[in-house]
Amino acid sequence: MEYVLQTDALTKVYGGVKVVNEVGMHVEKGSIYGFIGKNGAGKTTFMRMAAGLAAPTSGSVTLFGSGEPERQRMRIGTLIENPGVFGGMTARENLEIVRRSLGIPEKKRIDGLLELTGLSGAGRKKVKNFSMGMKQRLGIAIAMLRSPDFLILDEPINGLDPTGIMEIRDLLVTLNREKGITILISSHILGELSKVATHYGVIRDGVLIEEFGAAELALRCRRCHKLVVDNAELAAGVLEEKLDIHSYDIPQEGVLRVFERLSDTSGTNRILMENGVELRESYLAGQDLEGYFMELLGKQKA
Amino acid sequence: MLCLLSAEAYKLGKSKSFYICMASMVSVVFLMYGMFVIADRIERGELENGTGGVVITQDGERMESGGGSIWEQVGIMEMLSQIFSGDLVACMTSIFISIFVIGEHTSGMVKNIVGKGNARGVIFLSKLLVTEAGVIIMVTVSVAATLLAGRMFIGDCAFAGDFRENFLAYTGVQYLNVIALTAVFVLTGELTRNLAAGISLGIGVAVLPVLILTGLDMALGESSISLSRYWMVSRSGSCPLEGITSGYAVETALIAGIWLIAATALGMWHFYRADIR
Repeated sequence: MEYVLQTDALTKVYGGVKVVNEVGMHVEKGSIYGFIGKNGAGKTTFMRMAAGLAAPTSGSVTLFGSGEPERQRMRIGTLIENPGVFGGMTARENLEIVRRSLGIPEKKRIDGLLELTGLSGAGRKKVKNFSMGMKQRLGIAIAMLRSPDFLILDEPINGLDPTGIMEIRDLLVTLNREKGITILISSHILGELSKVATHYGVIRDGVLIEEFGAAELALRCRRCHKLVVDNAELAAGVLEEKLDIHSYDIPQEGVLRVFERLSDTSGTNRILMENGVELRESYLAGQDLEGYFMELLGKQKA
Repeated sequence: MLCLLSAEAYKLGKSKSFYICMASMVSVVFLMYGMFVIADRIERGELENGTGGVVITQDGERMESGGGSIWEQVGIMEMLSQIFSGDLVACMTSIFISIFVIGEHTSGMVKNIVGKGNARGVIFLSKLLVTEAGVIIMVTVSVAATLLAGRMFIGDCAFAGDFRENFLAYTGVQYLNVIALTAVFVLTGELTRNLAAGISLGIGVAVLPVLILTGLDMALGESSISLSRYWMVSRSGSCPLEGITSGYAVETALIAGIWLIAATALGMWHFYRADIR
């Protein structure tokens, strides 16, 4: 597996508090990695360390497989917390400052980025008069200036109206699919995140709870008939032989999730019991992504 | 480094505070000349002191008509000393530098530059160099305004005698002080990273040490120790208008050099160590 970003026990301590606690993140090349966590969970601090804006207290960051992240950071673009722009200047002037700072010779690159982010019509309008969406798009344009291979975006759709959210979402998908840019993105709007992310990482109180793929998430959120039994292997045999059910899994000892015959759960229960399975719990489970994440974050806290 | 210098120069060119502070300094120059023009008219008996409620005093006494001209006592060098020793340069440059340096942090623009392949030390140095250039331009324009206004109000006689030598020596020494002081202001901006705190602290640095050091000098009066001679703003105020010796110039260069190096090193260290927020 080729990783664009890999961290090992990355830790940041502020005033004796571990804001980021031994995080080991793995961002696959070509993926859109959704970084989920409540306010103050440590997402921004983690991203700032990955971007080189904050020094880790301990642990390491590996970018593009290299243990020398300073060199590799030329290949990343960042938009962390809010777009770093001068309000008294135009979008073009802000881009010009960053273009010069990064030593990018092609002046036309600015035109292309303004076009790509839909800001070419902003003209001489000062950034302080921009809408939130325009500012965010300018932030993404700045992050894109050096044609990065990896984008780190912290809450890029925060405060945007539905149209703005859709525009940013479409832009990110375009950048990922057409330009092959790997994206690490954090957001509170989980429904939106789930529309673009291919991988997820969940952080709570500075600890990375879990990493999983979109397929795994879909499976976890899939509607199912959940059974708690005394003998899961016996129950599985009954499901296959007596009911011809093959779509199920055993996520943990004594628990089965059945994805078929959801309209006749009482019939399934009856046949299991008739065949010697002691049924302790039986209910329909499954929820939307937002509900799943909320449950995950809440569950871990307990 | 050249890329960063180019970007900083671009920012300086677009900086409103740069032009406003420069215009303010030039305005103060002309305002000072205006005051002396009024004093001159009173001195020559063309205007009565107290006209319009404005009373002009000289050496603590109400100025009366003496039949001569004030320009016989006050020349361009005295006007220059008003600019450099009257906190004008220190305060205005402190405001400009605070806005120019701290604006980078408050806007978040610094996040677009740090961690993108440029060493932090080089980023800080390029900022410092362009800030120095900006301050030198501001001061040069003010000095040019002083010369121009001197030509307008005093006439050619203002440039007579040893003026050229004295002017070059005096401004040269003052530039050394200003360069070192700029590095100190950049350091305060870097340390605070907050506009209100930076401006307040900058003006405090421009004004307070002079008073404190003067007090200490008085306290240490019986000994030969004079602490104020090691502080640029104090040196600016006490710089002789004529007869500057090479020894004095070298001493100023050494003191300015030490302050410049110390402030730059401390600023670089802080910029290197502190997280970017």
